Amino acid sequence: MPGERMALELSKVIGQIHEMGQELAARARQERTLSPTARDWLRHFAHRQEELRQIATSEEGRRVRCASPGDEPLDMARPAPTMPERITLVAADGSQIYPDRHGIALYYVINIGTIVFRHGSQRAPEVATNPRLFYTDDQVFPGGELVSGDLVSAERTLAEIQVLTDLALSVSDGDVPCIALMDGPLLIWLQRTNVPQERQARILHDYLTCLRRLRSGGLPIAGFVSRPFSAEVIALLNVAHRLLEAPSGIGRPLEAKVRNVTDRALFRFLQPGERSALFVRGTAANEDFQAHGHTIYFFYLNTGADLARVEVPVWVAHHAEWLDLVHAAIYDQCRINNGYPYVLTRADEQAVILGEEREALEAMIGRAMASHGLPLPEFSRKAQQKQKARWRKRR
Amino acid sequence: MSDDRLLDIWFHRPATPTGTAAARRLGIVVGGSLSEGLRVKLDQNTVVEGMAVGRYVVIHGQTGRRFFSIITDVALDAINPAIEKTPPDTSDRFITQVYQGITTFGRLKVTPMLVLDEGSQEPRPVKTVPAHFSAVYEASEEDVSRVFGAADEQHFYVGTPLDMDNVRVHLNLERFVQRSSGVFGKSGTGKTFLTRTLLAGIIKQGVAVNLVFDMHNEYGWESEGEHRYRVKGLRQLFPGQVSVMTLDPESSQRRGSKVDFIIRIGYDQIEPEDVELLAPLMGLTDVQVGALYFLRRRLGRAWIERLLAEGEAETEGPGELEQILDEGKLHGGTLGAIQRKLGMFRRFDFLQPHVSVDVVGKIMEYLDRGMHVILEFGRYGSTLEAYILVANYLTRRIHERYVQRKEAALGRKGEEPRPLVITIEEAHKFLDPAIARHTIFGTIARELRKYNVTLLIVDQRPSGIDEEVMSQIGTRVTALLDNEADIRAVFTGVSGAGELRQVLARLDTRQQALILGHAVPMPVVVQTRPYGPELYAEVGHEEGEDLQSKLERNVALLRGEQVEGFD
Amino acid sequence: MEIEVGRVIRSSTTRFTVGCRVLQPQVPVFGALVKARAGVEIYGLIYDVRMEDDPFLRQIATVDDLQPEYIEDQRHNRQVPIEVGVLVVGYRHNGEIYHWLPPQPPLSLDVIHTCGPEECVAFTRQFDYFRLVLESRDLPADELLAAHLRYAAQVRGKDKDSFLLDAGRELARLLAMDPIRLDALLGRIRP
Repeated sequence: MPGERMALELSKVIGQIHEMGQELAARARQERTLSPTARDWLRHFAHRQEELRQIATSEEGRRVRCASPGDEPLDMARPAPTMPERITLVAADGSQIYPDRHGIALYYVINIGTIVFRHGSQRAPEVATNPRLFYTDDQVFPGGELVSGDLVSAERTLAEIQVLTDLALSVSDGDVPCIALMDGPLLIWLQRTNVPQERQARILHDYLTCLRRLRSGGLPIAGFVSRPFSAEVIALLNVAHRLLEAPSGIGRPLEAKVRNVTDRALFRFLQPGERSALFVRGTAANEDFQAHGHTIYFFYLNTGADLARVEVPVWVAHHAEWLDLVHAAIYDQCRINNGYPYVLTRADEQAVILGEEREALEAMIGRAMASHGLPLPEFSRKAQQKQKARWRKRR
Repeated sequence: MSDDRLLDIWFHRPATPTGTAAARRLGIVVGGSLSEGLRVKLDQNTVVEGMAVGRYVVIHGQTGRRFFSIITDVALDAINPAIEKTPPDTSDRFITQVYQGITTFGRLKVTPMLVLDEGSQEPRPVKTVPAHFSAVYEASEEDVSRVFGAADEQHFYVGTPLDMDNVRVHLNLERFVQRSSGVFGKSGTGKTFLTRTLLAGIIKQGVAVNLVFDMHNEYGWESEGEHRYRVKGLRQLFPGQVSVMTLDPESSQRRGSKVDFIIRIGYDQIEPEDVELLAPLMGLTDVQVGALYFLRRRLGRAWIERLLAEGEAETEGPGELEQILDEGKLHGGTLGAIQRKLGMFRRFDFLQPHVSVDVVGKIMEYLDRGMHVILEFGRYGSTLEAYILVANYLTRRIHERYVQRKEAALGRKGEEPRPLVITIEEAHKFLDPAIARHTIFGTIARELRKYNVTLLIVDQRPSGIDEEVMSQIGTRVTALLDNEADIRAVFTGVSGAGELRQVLARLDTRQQALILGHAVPMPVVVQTRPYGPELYAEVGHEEGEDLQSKLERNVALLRGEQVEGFD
Repeated sequence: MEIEVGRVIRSSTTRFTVGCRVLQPQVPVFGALVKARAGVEIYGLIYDVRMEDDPFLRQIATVDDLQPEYIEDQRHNRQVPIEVGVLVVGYRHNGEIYHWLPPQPPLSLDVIHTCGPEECVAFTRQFDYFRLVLESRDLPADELLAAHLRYAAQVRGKDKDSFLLDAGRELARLLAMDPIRLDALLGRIRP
């Protein structure tokens, strides 16, 4: 009956909220006390890149998946280089409709939004969407099982870089520098996901193919991770602290509680526009990338509003000019958009599939089915109920 | 043929155009009553300043009836009374135009007078009102013409309704003379011209014979107005039909007025009744008036001569007067006063001890022949006593003969006498409430047309006239009056008069008159017809003037100067 | 001369909302007469042109030295729908124009067009729809009517002034008891 839905009984979570507040305060306190210590260590190890690299690749280092330093001093802070007058940014982002067992038919949709932003051109950017409908048996029931959400997500990520690669290569004319930008980590990680083994291999292969095409096309690519929670650098410092001699007079080891402190806290000393030193991602997946010459590096960047992590393949990390382009362009984009690259916001905006659009799509599918004399499957009672309930809640 | 000429032909206006243009809608009836008049809301396009009291409107009722009505008041109104407190920005023409006729509008009060049933051509007095929201139209010339009839034997053109130059208002002269009539108006409003026009009409149509006591010598022969030009007298317009008599031949001769007869009255012909009317003027007390009758009885027909002689010299020794005094029948002071007051008669040259001619008979003879008689007073016109004495003297006797004739006619012993209209000026002197009941003029007014004699009274102070007499006045032709009492007097005995007062009080000072009563189907305000060449021509007079004088006259006409004052 | 405004996204008998992608110079314009091509043609006046609440745009707006590419992007590419509110003022059925509410509202996704000058003249030949506008007190009804009348007058060319006068008189009749409102409204349509 309308109006009788029980509201979220806020009174029943008051106690929990109170506890949560205490917990968050404690964590912040810990972070405040621990981060200066961690920063001291960073300074301590700043120029011992070689030792740390060995530690990172040691058994212990690989076990904790810590980052591995590049060649720059660890406590470096590099201001944003000057933005070139002309530069083209190509960005892609995707969204999807997951398959719904209660829906009108089994299908899923991946929609990739793209933008070509020609900085300095005074022209309106070009935006586009690239929707794809997946409905064949092979697509919907890979290996006889209903396609999983993880697989759809992986397919989406692959589609993103494929569309991005095609688009970036097509608009890059050699006169104006061009970079490709992805939302999220550049490093993809498929193991231990609900994706069939052979699909994992194919996706990774296709993904790496894109990176290869970009590299040979002379097109730097970067992935932008906002509000990162990773602590790979902290992990590195921890291991170093344990395995190397303890730095004299600068605090005690962080122990197990270290997980509460992220790299973001560590690099808070970066001023707006400044980036940290480069590190190599420490996850196992990076080994597959490394094998094909696409080792993923990252740096932290103060976007003006927050710290973000930017991932680039090694061939960008080691190309000073490209690296500066990525650094300058991302910062410039973030500056006007509250710490998030403008082009990614726009690509996402293109890609997102709204509820009403999904309804319209379903209606069209229904008509297509009917026009071929197919009986419309009985609209799942459960789905109906769910919809009604949500409708009421929205109001 | 040039284009201009063609245009002239195309746009040629007929000599007597009839109103064929579509009648303009003014508004709608929104309320009111038969007794108090109807309230009319003006349409937005009707300019309130274009309305005027006295104008005609025609209301198209729901049953096909058309109500002829007269505008008696014009007012302003607004839907929202608050607008009087917060008037809009009138400097803006657009805003003003928008408001006009919508939130603010004009109102009329109209009094229905006549109704014309559908399909009928004969207007009848109104006995009901048109329904709510009946449309009100400006009366077309056709409408007004229908009401005021065409010129025929009985109808005489007297003027045009306000703002309708092409419509003629006709007076039914037959009805006009059936009862006594009046021409009123304050000094300088053109009473004399109105009267002269009416008299010309009566003569032309032959509905009655006139006897005019012409106080200021304005009717018989041409006279000079205040504005240096001369207007023709009735004798000039109707040669052979009008005879002029005079009390003052020298004056008539001076003015070039041809006189048919010189009036002379013998002292021995005067009766006390003839003098009694002069009592207020001469200052005769009631006792003195009573003494007149006594003296007449004692002294016989020569009573006046003897009274006057007694005052001059002791020619015949101690006479009858002393005897009367001795008898104590009369107080010496009374007799002295009478003698002194009657002494005025000595200055009246038309009074003579003995007159052999029968003046009254002579006049009757003329009247019987259908001749109209105008009696010029010459210099005596300025002496009210002379005017009253003569008018009263003659009227009493002529009326007496009419009574005899009429009675004879009723007994089939003779012919019915011609209807007679006696015109008197300064009528309130004859019809003062104090004496009206006893005088011949009061009698005539009250008798209606019993003996074929009626009055045409010309007066500037109708309030001085006895109310009963006033109520017997059949047709009232009224120029502007501004004294409240006079205005009230004119409407004595007229229903719905209240609304018409507004009309009367707002007439122009010249050449406008309200006509109401017996001779018109409904009250009408007219721009009076000029007394001039056009009228002369209509009554058949041949102009013998040279071009120059015509021109001068026309210029004067254009300037509206043709109306002569009365003072 | 008829320009597509957009498609109906919400509707009721008295009002409907049109989704519209981009602002063109002449479309949509406050006070414009538009029509929905449904079974009957439904006429309405645009009473509101609203850009959806958008934090993104607000963020961009705070930046000092905004590059033109961003402005161009926001103006021409953003999928932020412009919502156009339309007040129903009448309909046409079998060629007859009625100045009262249609039997049914337009359907969602019906296309809305502006009305050309001739149609505007035809619709504004009578003023019976004024009350539908004036009585919508939650709208800027007076501004709406004024904007509409100015446009309707303009398409009449030389008959402009007489049209405004007639319209003004109708307003004076309807608003006689509210002289202050009337004054303000007349001030807005004064030629």
